[in-house]
Amino acid sequence: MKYRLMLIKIGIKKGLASKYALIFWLFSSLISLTVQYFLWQAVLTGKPNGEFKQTISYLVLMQLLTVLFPKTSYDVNDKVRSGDIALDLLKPVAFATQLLWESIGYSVVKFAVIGTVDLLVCLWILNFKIALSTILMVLVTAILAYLLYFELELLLGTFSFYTYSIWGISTFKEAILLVLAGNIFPTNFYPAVIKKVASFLPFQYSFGAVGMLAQKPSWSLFIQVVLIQLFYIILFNVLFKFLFKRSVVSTVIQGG
Amino acid sequence: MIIETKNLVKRYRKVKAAKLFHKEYRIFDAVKNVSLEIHQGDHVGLVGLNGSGKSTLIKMILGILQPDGGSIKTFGRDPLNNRQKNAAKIGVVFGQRSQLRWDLPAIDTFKLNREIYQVPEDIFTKRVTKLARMLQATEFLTQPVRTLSLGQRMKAEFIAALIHDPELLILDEPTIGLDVLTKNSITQFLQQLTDKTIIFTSHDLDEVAKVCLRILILNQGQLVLDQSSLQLAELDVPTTVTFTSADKLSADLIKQWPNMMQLKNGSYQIAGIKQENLKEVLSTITARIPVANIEVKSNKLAYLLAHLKQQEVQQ
Repeated sequence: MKYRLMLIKIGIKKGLASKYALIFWLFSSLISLTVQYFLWQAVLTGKPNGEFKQTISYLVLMQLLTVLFPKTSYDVNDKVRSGDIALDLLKPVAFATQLLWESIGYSVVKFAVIGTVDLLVCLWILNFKIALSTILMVLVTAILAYLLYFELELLLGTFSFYTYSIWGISTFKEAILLVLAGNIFPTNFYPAVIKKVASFLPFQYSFGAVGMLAQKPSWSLFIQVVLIQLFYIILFNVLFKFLFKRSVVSTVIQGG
Repeated sequence: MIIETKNLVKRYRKVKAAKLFHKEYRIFDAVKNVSLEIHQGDHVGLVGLNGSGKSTLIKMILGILQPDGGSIKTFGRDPLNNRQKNAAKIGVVFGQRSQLRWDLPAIDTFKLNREIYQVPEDIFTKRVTKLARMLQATEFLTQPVRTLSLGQRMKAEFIAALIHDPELLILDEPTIGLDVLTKNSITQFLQQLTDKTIIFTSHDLDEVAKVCLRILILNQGQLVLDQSSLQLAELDVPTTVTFTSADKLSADLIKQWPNMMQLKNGSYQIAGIKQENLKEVLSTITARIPVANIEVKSNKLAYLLAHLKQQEVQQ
């Protein structure tokens, strides 16, 4: 357990080492929020104020998750390209474990610098009126969404062993998330077919499902979301382990 | 026995010709039928030119590359399926890779390794203090790694690799790009690690021979020589002396060394000097010529490889 704490500490220190980058990230996040505020105000003209508030708080929550979630595929890609992955593989701790806990540390710093502002904005829009049960449901599903997104990023990163660059794959992932995850547009605005497709795929359970619970919390939806999240986390984990083992032994660690 | 390989083979597929929609490949043997045994406490130098298969062999020993033929055992087990188990007993320093966190001080990586390898706090402190003193590294361990020189970074890499007191230390070209003083300091440090099994790869035979009692030479994937460094030291390898002088050389000296030639930069070079004559040549040069600069080189590895190839052809 202690090494996990140390990895979190390392992640925090790495985050603090790039504090100026995070401050700029905060400003760009605030600009993005402002644009979304006025955009959705225009889109929902004539609709009840409650709907606008719900939509904008949903989008702030999505932005918060986007900021907090790790970009592990790029970390894996960098390590594969430089060959430094060899040293991580030679530790008595699994590669994915090292990445996960270090990412959590980095996310702690991102939460402190950017996330708290997003969260305060979100609560302010909701007049600081939010039920304790909703907080609990959002918290649990957000943690599982983090793990699910991490597994997805790990899987994408593993392609680096074959492609040595995941820029294209990552851009494709962003496009898929844009359509199916509900992190830019709330899924309830989607046509019924896409909504149906998205409900079976994993992407929505990293973003949109958490927002849906924040908007319309219910224990039945919570249990459904948690079960699907757990299913995909386990599935991705098994897939990653299988693919990663094959990749490590059958491809070449770069450099002499 | 710590490492045992039998007829180990690794093949790579390399692109021969690339067209728009089609690539032609050729099979390239990076390691060919290598059989060797490394025992506890051995200091083994793995020497070869670039691309001779040293790093490929190391990767198979570590279990991060799958062999295509033969067998390999590290600590008595298949390294591929026991990589993490073996990791607790192995320390690794790669000259061209780093386990240190770029933005953080080296001491943070040491602390992380302390937790990963479960080293008790008091032992950790004593070990780091001792290693830092041996490598003269105490001053810079709290500086961010990005501010360190290459030599300082490599010293920190050595400490990071030794935090858990590994039985086997694998050094893959750890002195690449380092200046002479840092190289010497690292060599002296390694000479003191008598309780460890060391595999030291390099293309510099003389450097490896300072640390290792046994030398393995790999050439084009084949193990061509397995000999003690003492035996290798006794080999009469021709030496080349290059010197620079502002004065012109006297006619009798030129006559004395008919194989001496003047290089484009004005320096003089005498090649192919036998060991028994080297002392005399150097004495003559220093006594009779006002020398500005002098360099003595003996490329033992190139000589050995050429010699072995010649023997192979004769057989």
